[in-house]
Amino acid sequence: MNIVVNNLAARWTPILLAILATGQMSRAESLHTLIDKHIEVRWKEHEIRPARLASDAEFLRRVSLDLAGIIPTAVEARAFLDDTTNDKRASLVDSLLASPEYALHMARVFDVVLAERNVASTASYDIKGPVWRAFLTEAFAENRPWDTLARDILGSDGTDEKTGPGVKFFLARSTEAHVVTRDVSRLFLGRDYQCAQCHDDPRYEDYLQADYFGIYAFLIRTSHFREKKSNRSMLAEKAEGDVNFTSVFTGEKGETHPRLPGWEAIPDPEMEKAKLYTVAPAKDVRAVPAYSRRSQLASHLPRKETDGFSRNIANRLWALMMGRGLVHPLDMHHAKNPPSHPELLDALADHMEETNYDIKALLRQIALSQTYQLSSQFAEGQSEPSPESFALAPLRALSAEQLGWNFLQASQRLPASVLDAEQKLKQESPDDFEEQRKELKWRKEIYDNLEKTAAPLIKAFANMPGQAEGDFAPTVGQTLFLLNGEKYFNLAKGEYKGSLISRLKELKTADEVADELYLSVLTRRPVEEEREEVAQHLEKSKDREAALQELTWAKLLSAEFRLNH
Amino acid sequence: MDVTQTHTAHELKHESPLISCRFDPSGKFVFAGAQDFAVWRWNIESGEKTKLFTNSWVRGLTFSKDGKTIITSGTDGRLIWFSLADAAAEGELKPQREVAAHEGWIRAVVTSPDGKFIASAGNDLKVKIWNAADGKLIRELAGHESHIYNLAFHPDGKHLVSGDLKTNLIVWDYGTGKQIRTWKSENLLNYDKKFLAFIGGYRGITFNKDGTQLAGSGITNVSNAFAGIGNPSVVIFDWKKGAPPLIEHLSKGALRGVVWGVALHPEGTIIGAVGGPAGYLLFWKPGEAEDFHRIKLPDTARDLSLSPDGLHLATAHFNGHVLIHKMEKKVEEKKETA
Amino acid sequence: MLGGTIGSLGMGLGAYPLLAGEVEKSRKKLLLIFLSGGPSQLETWDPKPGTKYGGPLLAIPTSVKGTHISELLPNTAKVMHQLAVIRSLNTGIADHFQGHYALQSGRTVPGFPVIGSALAKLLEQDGDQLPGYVEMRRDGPKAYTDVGDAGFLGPKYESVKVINAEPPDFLIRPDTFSESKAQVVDQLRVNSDQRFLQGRSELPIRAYGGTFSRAVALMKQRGIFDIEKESASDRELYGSHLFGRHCLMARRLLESGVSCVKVVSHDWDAHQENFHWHQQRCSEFDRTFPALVTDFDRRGLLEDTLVVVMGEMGRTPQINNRGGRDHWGKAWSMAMTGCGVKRGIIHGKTNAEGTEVAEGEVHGGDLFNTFLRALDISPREKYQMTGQPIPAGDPAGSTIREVLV
Repeated sequence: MNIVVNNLAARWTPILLAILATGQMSRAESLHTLIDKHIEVRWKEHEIRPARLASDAEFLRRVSLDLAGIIPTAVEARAFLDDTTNDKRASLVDSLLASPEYALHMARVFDVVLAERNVASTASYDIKGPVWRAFLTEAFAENRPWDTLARDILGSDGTDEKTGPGVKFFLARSTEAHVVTRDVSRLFLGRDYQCAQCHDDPRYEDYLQADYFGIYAFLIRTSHFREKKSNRSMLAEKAEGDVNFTSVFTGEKGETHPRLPGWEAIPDPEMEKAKLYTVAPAKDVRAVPAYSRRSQLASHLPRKETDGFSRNIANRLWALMMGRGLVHPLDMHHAKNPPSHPELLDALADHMEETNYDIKALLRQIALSQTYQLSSQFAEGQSEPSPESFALAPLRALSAEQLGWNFLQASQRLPASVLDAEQKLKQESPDDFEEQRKELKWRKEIYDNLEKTAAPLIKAFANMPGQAEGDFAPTVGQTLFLLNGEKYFNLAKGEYKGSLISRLKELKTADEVADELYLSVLTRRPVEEEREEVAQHLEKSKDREAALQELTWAKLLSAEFRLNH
Repeated sequence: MDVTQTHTAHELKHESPLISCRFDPSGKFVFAGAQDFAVWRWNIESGEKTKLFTNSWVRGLTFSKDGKTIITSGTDGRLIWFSLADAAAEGELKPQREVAAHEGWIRAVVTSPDGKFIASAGNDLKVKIWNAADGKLIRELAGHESHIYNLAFHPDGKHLVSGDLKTNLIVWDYGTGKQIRTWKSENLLNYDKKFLAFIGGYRGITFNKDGTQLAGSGITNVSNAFAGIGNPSVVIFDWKKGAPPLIEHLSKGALRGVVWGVALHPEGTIIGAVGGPAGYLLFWKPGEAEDFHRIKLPDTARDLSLSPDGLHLATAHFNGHVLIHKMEKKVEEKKETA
Repeated sequence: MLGGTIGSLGMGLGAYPLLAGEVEKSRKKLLLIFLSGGPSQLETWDPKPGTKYGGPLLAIPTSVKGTHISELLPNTAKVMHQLAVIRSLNTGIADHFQGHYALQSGRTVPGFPVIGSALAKLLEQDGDQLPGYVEMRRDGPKAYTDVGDAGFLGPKYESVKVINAEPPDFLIRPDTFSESKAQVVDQLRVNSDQRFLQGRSELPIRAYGGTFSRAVALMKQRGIFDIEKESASDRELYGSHLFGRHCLMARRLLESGVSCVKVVSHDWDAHQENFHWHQQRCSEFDRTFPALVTDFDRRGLLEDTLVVVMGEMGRTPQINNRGGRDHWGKAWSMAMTGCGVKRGIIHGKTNAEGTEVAEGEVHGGDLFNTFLRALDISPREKYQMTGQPIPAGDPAGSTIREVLV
């Protein structure tokens, strides 16, 4: 257990103690069974009947979206659905986690989590999107532990070859200390201090204000620096500058040194004035202090001793898989918004700590749980369970990135490119084709080449900068974009080699068409009613190609495609 | 005269920012319009200062031929006559005549070569001809479609030129009120597509002594209209041929700012006073695009006047100072070297 | 269950009546005229002629005895009896981005909806097909006007954007895609969604389906963005410049049932030659705004429409060495008229040189709450968001009772 028991957790102490016992007993068990146990306890308490287990098709689509960002091709879907081995779900999870798509997908996810679509107010001063995502891709490909990644980002000043692009976290926020403070708290500790200022408990307010300014004190000396020679953006830091603050409620003044929640302040070391800088500030010179407060933040914050650090990432990874945090909203960890399953959140946080912040390991455990593998359909006569019971798989919007790439995937634009690239690779290196094919670099290039095609769609569906992706809130503008933005219909129309339409055209029977269409777009085989619909539509239509386009286009516009379910 | 030896001969100080300046016909006095709603007169030698309360910002200053009267044009649409022969009571001259002349700003007022007429123009797009002696309106000239920035009488005593924001120049026969011809100098106009606004116009305008050339000054190459980022420019027209300009005089190296005042020296040198991030006096030789000499001024400049003796320049500054520059070698230096 | 939203699609694409007439009359509306860049209070609502920082421009009398405004607004002066002017804003913000956000959201903490999005939500009625919030601006580089709209209310309440008086993007079906084909596809999509609905959470599926019917409604109604449909005399009344065309389109949209329209008048950021800039900008404004006030009044629109004119900040009293005025949040002005607002009054004042508020100080949050009150919405009304209910107005802000009826 986390040794820092603060007053936030105090309210939950009785429950924590109760769980402690069961938790210790369960140590021998794997985490995924523990997850199910904790979830089931609440079902029993509240007499909730959970949904049945997801079908293979439901599971396949969901876990592919969650771990690889894209749905499988029809070939892959058939193979999985027809596989009769017992542990095929676990094998699928492992193969997805090992795929290059995992890293590419997680880079897109954490791009949005960490940068929140912000761009520096002078856009050219920012790290370019592809560079930043490549940095994240590399990190997820090597399954860099979360504490290390957090350290790389918070500690980056833009100069280091490997961690340089991490400086995007600061640049995207125009290196504005208040903005960075708020987002460090929100994204790494799960606490939005600014929103919590609305709370009416003055004691709580003061407590937060001191914490807020404790983090602020780490950052106040850091500023943006543009190196003229290389035209690169970096961070400079001064060796002086302190933080004073006044409570708006009580008028009390405070002065604080860098301090993390639950910890003592870190005083600056005593130094002679002449030795304050490694590189002294001057015009067009990047100041480097001998003692960097920001480096202190990078080394002190990403540790299990920092209150909230482990729980935040555990909760965020849970939400990534389950569509909702155990603490929800994700940046609202505070006493008045307790976790729905405190004992489970602790178990997940502990797991993060015990595995040295192994992201893949936690995602794997969640994916293997029965809770994750529930259906999104509730049983007949059953009322819809509340989302925080996790008794039903939620309907979640595909993210802008998922939607963009899955449009290309389902219409076969992406698989056709993969096929092309494979043929080329086969010719170039027939001997190690199989090895090379699995390589991230090779795979990434295919995506990079299609980036231009996906980008407008992603842009149309992306939230405004700084606004975290919330619940599904479809807009008319987005739908108009789909309906009348010819480009995407043309994609579905499939006038290119290897398109879905060209494949459907070759199929003889309506049944074959229905199978291929549903497997390609919706990752499942059609039900009888759907087979009939396809057959009828083809039959009554004079122009078979047009009919196929209509069927495909309707599926791409369907809620079933738009949602992760 | 040696412009390369130009130095500050007098520094006349005031506390309010200045926007215009003129030597009087005697060259003994200099007048400057200030943002404190007054025009100020300095005796250049003694530094004695007299207030002419105008109750408006004055950009246009002109004198009767005998130099005994000054006529000011203000942002309140009034022309005011001050008799300079009167004794100033408590350091202040009282207006002799006030005429509500235009709707809105009057940006320029000038006296005809024979001294009989004065012309004024402003934001109401009209040029008006007045009897200099009694302030009676004689004629109204309509034809401009943007704010009129400047006026100049041709030495021939027959023609008047008016120039506007959009750099249209209209040559009038002011005796009849007829438009003779129109010109344009588009280099002094910028339409900022980002900010949807025009910026430019003739900030300064003047004829040379024999009337063969007309100079207009302002700003060119504006890249940001809000910040006023552009380069100072003086264009010279051939009076007979009209547009396009014979030449555009620019600074050597891209200086930032506006040429707020231009003078054509009888000996040929073209002189511009620049206001921008810094103030400059620029000197060009006829026919040369880049300045051959420049002086950095202690503050941004707003106007320029050439003295009747052709040896001095006056510049009006934001810091409230009028500088009198002498275009020859400093006397003290001679003594020291001797 | 399904009949309401999805089933009705089967009736064909023509079956989307606009909410109009009686229903619309009862709904409050907002027209926000945003003078972006920060107009100078001294060259608009609060002239100080003849004072140290007053500048060269004069003040002129207005239709309200004893009240003067800048000579740059001669037509506006004639409708002064219709306006409530606040001369005592102290928002303390001298920054475009922060000002744009704070003045429109009533908050300084990020994440809150701007007034247009807030009203799209708060004034929403069942069955609405048109967007609740339309924003009009000129084309141009991404400017500080884009501060995000809906905040935590989510994309549904983001503005629909009209750029350069053109209808929003994608309102017209591509030539290659016939109406009948669209209907066929839509029927297939609806069938698909109906099957998918079985045993699943209805809300997201219906929300998504709803965007299709609203999209089709908007396509059918794209004429509401076409001011050529207005009479020639009305087009002349509002003027042919972009601001005029946007204001006329705003009238058209408000009359069609859009609850909030924002028209942006750009480029008041006069860091140099302030007086020249204000001559240009004010002449455009003064050409249209007073005509709009009179027209709205004549048509009865002012009875249920709040009209607000403001920028994100004012400009410094001090005139800089380029003849400009710089950013300023300490003592500046705005104006409003329409529903819930007293007419022909001035609230608050600045000191003689305009450097400080002397009476009736108003903060950003106060303004926002006052807008809500004028529209009969309590600032304490709460958005029911995940996590916690959030009050619509700023709890620290007060309402400026003096300007309300």
